Amino acid sequence: MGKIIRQKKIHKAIVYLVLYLSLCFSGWYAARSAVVAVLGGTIFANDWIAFFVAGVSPLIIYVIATKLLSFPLKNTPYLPLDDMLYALPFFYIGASLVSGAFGILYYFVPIAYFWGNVIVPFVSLSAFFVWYLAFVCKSYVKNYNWKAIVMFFGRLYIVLALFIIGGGLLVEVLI
Amino acid sequence: MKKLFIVLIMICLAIMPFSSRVYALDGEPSTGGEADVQATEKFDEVTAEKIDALTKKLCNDEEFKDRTSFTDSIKTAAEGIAALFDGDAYDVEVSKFEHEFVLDQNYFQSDKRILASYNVVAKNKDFDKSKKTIVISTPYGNHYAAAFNNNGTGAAGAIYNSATVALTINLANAIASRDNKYNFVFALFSGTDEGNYGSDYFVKNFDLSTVMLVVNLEKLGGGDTYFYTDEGETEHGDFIAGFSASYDLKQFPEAGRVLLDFSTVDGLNYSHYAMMGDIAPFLSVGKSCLELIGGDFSGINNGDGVSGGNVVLISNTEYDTYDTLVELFPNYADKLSAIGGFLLDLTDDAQLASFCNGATDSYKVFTQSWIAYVICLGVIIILILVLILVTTKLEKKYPIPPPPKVKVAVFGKEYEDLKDNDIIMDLKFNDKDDNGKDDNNDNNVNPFDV
Repeated sequence: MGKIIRQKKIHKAIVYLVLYLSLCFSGWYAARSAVVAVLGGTIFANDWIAFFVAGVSPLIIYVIATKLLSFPLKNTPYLPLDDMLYALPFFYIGASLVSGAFGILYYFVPIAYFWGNVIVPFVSLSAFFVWYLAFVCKSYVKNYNWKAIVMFFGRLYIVLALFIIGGGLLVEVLI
Repeated sequence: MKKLFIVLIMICLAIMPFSSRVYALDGEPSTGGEADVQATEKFDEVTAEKIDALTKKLCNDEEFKDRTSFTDSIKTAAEGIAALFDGDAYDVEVSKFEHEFVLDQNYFQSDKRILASYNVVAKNKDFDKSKKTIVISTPYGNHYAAAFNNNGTGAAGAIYNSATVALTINLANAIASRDNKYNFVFALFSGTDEGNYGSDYFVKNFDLSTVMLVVNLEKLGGGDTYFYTDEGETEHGDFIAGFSASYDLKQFPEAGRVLLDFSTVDGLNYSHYAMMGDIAPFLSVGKSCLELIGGDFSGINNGDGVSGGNVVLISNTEYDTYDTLVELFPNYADKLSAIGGFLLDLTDDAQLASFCNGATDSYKVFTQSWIAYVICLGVIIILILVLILVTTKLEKKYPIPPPPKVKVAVFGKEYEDLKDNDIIMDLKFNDKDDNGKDDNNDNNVNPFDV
């Protein structure tokens, strides 16, 4: 897999299509209740609608977030930004597939959803992000720059995670 | 991968005890066996003919068909329904309750109005405080007329909930004709779809100290009949599951249940179809509950039942009339009669009291998402520590190499040592520009002038 990513053998459009499908798989269970609330509960295709709707907003957020975060780094010397942006969706797909697998668990044991829906995506995303950083360092960066790369992107991830998790906690407590 | 699969299975097994118990009751009683014979005999007391006649009356008589909650017409309907109970056996009360509604709100003003609606509560006349009490409740309001900025359906609500009201009244009168081990209270609530206001008022104002079980009946007669006791495992749920074996009970498909993103039971931040009706206020105060709800809840569906191979949903629509009910579900009254028999058997069981020990709440901690967010914050702290450790280790293991030294050679490259990486540069002063002309640019400084 590492070789395929390094040699950029798969077209970006295909990568993004697979990313969208994996996001659909990941968010499908959570989207069911929203779809039922909007469409009612008697349309046979409700689960399919929930599946395909689930991936739309995460994909848009992903595209916007990567554009926004990569823009200031565009001219950073020694930073293989294009390679990093190409590799990122592969790891996001992995994290989404793990989250989606837990969606099947929630389907059968709905009560597991409330903790699982918060903890599983975060933990799997964190694990795949660590893997992604390791891959980027080994593939594209000289070893004496590993520290700088890990420190910069590690801090960026932690700040974003604090923002999202802290915001989620505030919403849960206040509402 | 194999290890991950094993971990997933372990998690599933660990969470299983917290999953709910919901079962489905077939319209037809199973054949054979002593219990079935008893049940069939009791079905005669709540006959399909009586249920059908009363359902038709509730749907078509002017007195009953407009039961829109929080409107003037529901009082007339409530008084009419109160008169249907056996007056010799029950003290029947039409109790008024009020709620302040915000009917029209915008940035500058809000139109708040206090509106009244009515419950019908029938309590057996020989009510004995030393006995346990069973409350049998059902919503009786409909959406016939316009209210709360919503257009009325113009339908009396046959499947939701005239047929079930007919069952409840027939059941009350059948129970009155026998010697009972328990007290009985029949409560018909209005304001259910508006926010369980009728049942909420009842819970706050009725003495529930002797109540051991609340049975709420809803939307029965169309599809399968499901029963639900609580989100966690309950003793009375297990008892009812075993007790009802002779009625060919089928388990409700818990898998695929849709969790709706609003709260009806205190302490739970979600709802689903089986818990969001008038059972919710009783669950909130910890009473043992039994919800009997009809329909088709397979997968994501919220249908009234399957007719002609299709899941149909007519409740709360203009099609929810007696004629449509009979057309879509011709054997609805037989199903209700079977449910009546089941309830007659259940409420006559001496053992029932020992299993009704209240609602469970041990599972509620697993529904609080804020705890999960706190766990994630803990993970972030671990990530910060890992980041510090990893970067420190990387710094030691792969130090940044010193930049190559730049030596200025005055006399040329003959001093360059090929064994080290030092670079020898020849710096020459050039006072000519690229075209070979004199360059008067002040930036062109002769280094030897420094």
